[in-house]
Amino acid sequence: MAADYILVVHKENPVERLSPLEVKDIFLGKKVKWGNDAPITLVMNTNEEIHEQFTRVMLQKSPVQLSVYWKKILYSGIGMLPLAVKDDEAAKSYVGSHKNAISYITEDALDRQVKKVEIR
Amino acid sequence: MRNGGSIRSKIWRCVLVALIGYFVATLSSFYSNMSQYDRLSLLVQVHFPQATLGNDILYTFKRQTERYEEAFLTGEGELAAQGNDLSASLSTMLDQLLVAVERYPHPQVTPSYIQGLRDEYRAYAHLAGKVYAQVADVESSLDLQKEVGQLGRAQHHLLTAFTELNKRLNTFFISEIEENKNKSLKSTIFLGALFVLVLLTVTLIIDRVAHRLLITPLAKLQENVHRFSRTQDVIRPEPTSTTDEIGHLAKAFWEMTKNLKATTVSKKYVDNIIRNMTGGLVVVSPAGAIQTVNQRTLAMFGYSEEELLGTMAATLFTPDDEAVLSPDLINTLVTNGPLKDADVTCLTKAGRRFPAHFSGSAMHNEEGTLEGIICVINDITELKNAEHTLRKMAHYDALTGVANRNLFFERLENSIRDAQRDERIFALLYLDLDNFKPINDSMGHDVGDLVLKTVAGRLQEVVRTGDTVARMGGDEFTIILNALHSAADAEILARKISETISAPFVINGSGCTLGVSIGISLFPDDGADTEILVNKADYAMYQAKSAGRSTFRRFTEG
Repeated sequence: MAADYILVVHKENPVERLSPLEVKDIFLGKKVKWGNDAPITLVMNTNEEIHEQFTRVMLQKSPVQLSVYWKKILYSGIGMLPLAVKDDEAAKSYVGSHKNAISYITEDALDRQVKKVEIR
Repeated sequence: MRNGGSIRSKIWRCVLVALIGYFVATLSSFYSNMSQYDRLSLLVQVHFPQATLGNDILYTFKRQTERYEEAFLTGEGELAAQGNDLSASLSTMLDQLLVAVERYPHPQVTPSYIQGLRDEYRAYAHLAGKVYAQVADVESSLDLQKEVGQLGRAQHHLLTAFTELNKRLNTFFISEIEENKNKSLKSTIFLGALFVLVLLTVTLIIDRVAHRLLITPLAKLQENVHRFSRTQDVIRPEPTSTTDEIGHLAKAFWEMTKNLKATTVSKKYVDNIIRNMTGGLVVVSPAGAIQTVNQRTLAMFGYSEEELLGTMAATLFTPDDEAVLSPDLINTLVTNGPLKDADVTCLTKAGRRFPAHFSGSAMHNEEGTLEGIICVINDITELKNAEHTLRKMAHYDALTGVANRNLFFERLENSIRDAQRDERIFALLYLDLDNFKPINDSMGHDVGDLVLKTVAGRLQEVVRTGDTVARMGGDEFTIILNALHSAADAEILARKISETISAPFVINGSGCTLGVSIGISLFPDDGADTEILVNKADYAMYQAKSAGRSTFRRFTEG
């Protein structure tokens, strides 16, 4: 049984919830700014279980496909590759210290460093 | 334009007009075709290669970027190398395009624009050749990512620029084709209109020229011919030059008509003569039917022309003269020549007869066959009357109407001849009125003449038919008493005459009495010669007068 994932942002980020479509747009680089015009910093949690589950459920892609997708964006000069971290801890640490960052972690790993955003 | 010149030169003028028109049309057609050829050449040699280069550049660049992308995604160095290989040829194409645009300026693509693109591309190719060959570390190297992103943007810019370049070249190429199409259409329309215009102009000019140079002079000539046929009168034409054939033809015609007028008698002229002839003209067919008559004939006979034409000529003559114009007579006229002034008696429509002179001659046509008989009939009634009057004047006494001396001697000779032939006797009485001179002197010549007329009348009454009373002059009369049985008969008649004369006269209301002395000579007893007989009667008369008037004496010797 795979662990469930949750979206996390900086504690000061006012956003409370995002729709699945908004989540998809953000992680495919189509929505690049928060409501207050601050740029969104994507953090890919490459923890194997979570990463695969998140990309397949939320982005309807395999992790390899997502990698190629982002490389094409990079190749065509539209954007840079998103930041990649190894596990939940690294993700929480980065999101906790960067105001505009967003990432996903295992539900059990949620703590006070970050704020959970509901997907609804 | 002169109206003169030969027909050849006039036709050449028309041909020249047509040739000029043809030359103008051909020249403009040639010019139009040449300019179209130039435009098409430019299209083939310049605009089409430019457009093709634009296509090739865009296509090659797309292939190159595909190779790079694959190389970037797969990390295959071979694909990156393939991409790099295309850089040289694309760079060459840009150079070619630059040269082409420098040689044939393009309205939307300047050489500097292509130069800029070329330089930009070279920079891109240089960087791409380096970057895409080693992209394995892209996820970990932020610098590399930046370079890839920069290349991506440069590539995007170039793609947009090449697409735009290609679009401009192709659009211009297509617009050039369109323009050529329009120009061709316009020039076709223009040429068509020009040809029609030239054709119309040439036709019009030739028509005017031909009309002025050929048709008008011919129409004038024709008018002259008509005029001649109507009025025998022609206006003298003047040829404008020595080579003006139509003018000369017109002049020749004019001269011909002049000669014709001088040498030929017109039908009008002949008709006029016939109409005004004093004699009646009748033309009769060889069969004897009337073919032509003139007004005089109609007036003479009282027929209308319709009544006479076709009827037999014999109708015009009394039955006695029917031999006139019988087939026999016609033959005679043909063989013996014309008949001149034959005496005939004509018969009018009303049945009146009149004497006429008839002349006829045969009329032959040019081939020598008999066409008819030309007859001239002259009414000689007046001539006959005049002859009668003349004869009367020659033989009769103008005052008394009895025979004059001439007729008396003629009759006397006749009587002598008749009496000698028949062995008869006749008497000659010589009368001299008594006391006539006093009446003539006292009562005037008028009365004297009246007395003489009365005496002559009484003498005529008393003699027998066949006897002759003549006035010898003054108050002397003679009487020939023919066919007597004896000398006594003469004396009986002499007494009767004397008594008749002695009867009283009533002249101007007053009565008077005359006497007469008569001398008698007898044939053959007193002589067989007129002179002797007259002398003897005259002598006897003087004897009677000496014996005491109002008596008679036979001639006796001594």
